[in-house]
This record gives sequence, structure tokens and C-alpha cells, in this order.
Amino acid sequence: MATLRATINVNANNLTSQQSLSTQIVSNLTVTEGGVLVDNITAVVGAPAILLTAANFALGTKVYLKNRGATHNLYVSFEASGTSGEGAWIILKPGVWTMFPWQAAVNLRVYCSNAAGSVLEYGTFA
Amino acid sequence: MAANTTFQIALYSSDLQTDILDLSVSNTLLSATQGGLLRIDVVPTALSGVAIATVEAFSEDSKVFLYNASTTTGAASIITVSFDQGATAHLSLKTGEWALIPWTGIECPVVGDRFDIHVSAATVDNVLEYGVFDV
Repeated sequence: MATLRATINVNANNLTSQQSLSTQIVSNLTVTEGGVLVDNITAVVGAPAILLTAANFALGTKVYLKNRGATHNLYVSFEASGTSGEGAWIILKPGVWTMFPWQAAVNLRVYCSNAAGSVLEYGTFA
Repeated sequence: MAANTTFQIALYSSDLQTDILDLSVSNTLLSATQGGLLRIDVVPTALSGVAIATVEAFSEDSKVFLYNASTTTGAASIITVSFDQGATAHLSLKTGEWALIPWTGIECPVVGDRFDIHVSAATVDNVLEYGVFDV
């Protein structure tokens, strides 16, 4: 057993009359598997690469993704969700991150806005 | 009023691997004009039932924050999130769990794949705190 401390901070000043929106959530997760890797994603729309195979992960697995590239966008889709080719619901512009507890019902797929590719940093924790 | 909004994540573990995992990343949404946090009771219904964000209202720069603020625990407290209007369950938030999604919103690269975000829960008394921040 190991502990992963996952912290998120969301801060906005003067967005609402509340003046200072500041929320922090610290989660101490008990995990036995996990780590962070990088990969160069050159797949493009229409032929996305399978990043994570759902059958290999449990419901609620935490997924962390970050586009480490400087130029091209990365798109993340959930297999079989698109209705006309490959849809996408998560866009990772250069430097942008996401983290979520994954349902692991269908595969997670990824593609780049350009065949030159972009470096994806990703991790799973369960 | 336009406001800069920052989203920071920090992951740390000293005992998961032989080396310490320690990373921190911060993203800033410049000049946000939409956003804020809202808590709702998520009613037990089909996943297609409750929309929390409609795709027409947001751009590809939008960021969706989700937090299961329920006080109960266990399988009954799980809040399920779908990005395709309930056709498929994509995220599973137990009590205390959160997610931050840079949502493509209306700028989905494939025409026709534009869907609202829907949520559902297995039972009553499950609370979702969420916000969609956009420029």
C-alpha cells in the first residue's frame, strides 16, 4: 500500500461579486499501482491511438494527463462514443493538464492536431 | 468582469515507487468571464436525465470542475458523469473525489459530436459541486 496525495487548487479573483473564489481539495488516496510516463503521440483524427485499455483498469482509476508539447493540441476521446468518426471531449492545449476518476467502461484514446505529434505525460493510479 | 482563473494540481507520493513522485502543474485561464461554483442535489435518474452544461454555451477553452461533496460513502454515493449526453458513463466520482476537465465544448473536431455534460447518481442525497469556467 502507498499513499498518493492529490491536491487541486482553483482560484479566481473578481470573477463574481464574491471577489475571491478559492477552493482547495486535498485527497489522500491509498494506491498500489501507478506512476507517470511520457509518450510522443503522432496519431491523428480518424486513427486515434489507444492510450488506456479499459479492461486493464478498475472503475474509479485516477487518470492524469498533460500535454508537454509546445505547439500542437492533443485530443482525448472515449472509444465508441463518437457518432461520426472520432469524437473528443477533452482538449489538451500545450501545457494543459487534466485529472479524473475514470469509469473504465470503454478505452481511452488520444490523437494530435498534427502528425508531427506532441508529448503526452500521463499517469494512472489505482 | 474578466478575471484570470488558475487551476493547479499537485501529486505527491513518497512510497509508491523507489523514487519520490512529486509534480505540480498550474494552468491559467486568462480573462475568464464565465464561472463560479454551484452545488446541486443529483437526483437518481437515467444518465441522460440531468444536464449540467450545454455545449452551445461554452468554447473550447472551457474548464469543468467537478467535486462529489456528498456526506455519505460507498457505492450508493457515486456520481456518474457522461460527456455524450448519457449514452456512455465516462467518469465515476466517489465521495470526496474531484475532476478537472478541459472540455472541448463546441469546438469538437468532428462535426456531429457535440454533446452536453450529464450527471446521475444511484440514490438520493448525493451532492455535486461544479463549475464551468470559460472566457
